[in-house]
Amino acid sequence: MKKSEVKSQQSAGELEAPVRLTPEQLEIVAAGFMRQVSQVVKGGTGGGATTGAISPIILKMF
Amino acid sequence: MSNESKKQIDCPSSQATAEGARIFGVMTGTPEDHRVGYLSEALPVSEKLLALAGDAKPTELFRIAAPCAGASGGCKHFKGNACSLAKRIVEGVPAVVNALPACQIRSTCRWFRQEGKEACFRCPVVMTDKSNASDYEKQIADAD
Repeated sequence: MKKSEVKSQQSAGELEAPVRLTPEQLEIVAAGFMRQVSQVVKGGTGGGATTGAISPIILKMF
Repeated sequence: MSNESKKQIDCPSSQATAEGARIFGVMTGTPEDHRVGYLSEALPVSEKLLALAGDAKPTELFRIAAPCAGASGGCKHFKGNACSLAKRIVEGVPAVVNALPACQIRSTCRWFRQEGKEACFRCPVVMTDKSNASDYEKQIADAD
C-alpha cells in the first residue's frame, strides 16, 4: 500500500480517543475480551504473525 | 557515545517470557475491532495476570514491554540499527487515535524513539499475536 493511500485513509476514517484503564479495571476488561475471543472460530488463516500483527482496519474501511 | 545509548530501550510488542517483561496495555473492544487499553501503571508479568488469557496466548490479550533485544539479541525486525517493524507499522497502518495514548512506557519505547508520535497513533491497533491474522497483517508483522 502506498503512503499516499494510507494518508487518504487517515483523513477518511474517524480517529478515536485512546482508551485508558486502571489496574483495577484490567481483570474485568480482560475477561470481557477473552469471552469474545472464545466465540471466534480459530484457525481461519492458519495462524498469525509472531509479533506486531495488525487488525484489518483498512479492509474494514471499504 | 551518548548517554542515551546506555538507557534501556523497550520493545512495546514483546513476549511474556522476556526478561523484564511488563504489561502496559490490554485489549478492549472485539477481536475484530480491538484497541489497546493503556494501563495507568505498567504491571510486572505474573502468573495471575497470564491466567487471564486462558487458552489463548498472553500476547493476544496483553501488550507487553521488555528490553529491546536488538540485533545482538536476535530480533529479526532489527536491521541497520533500527526496528523495521515500527517503520512498517507507521507506513502501512492508518492512525486510529486522535491523541497520544496515556502510555507508561513511551519514554523508553523503541517505536516512539524511532518513529515519533506517528507510531503512537497506530499503536492501539497493534496486537502482538493474532490467531486469525489476514495476509495483510502477516505482511506488516512478518516481512522480515
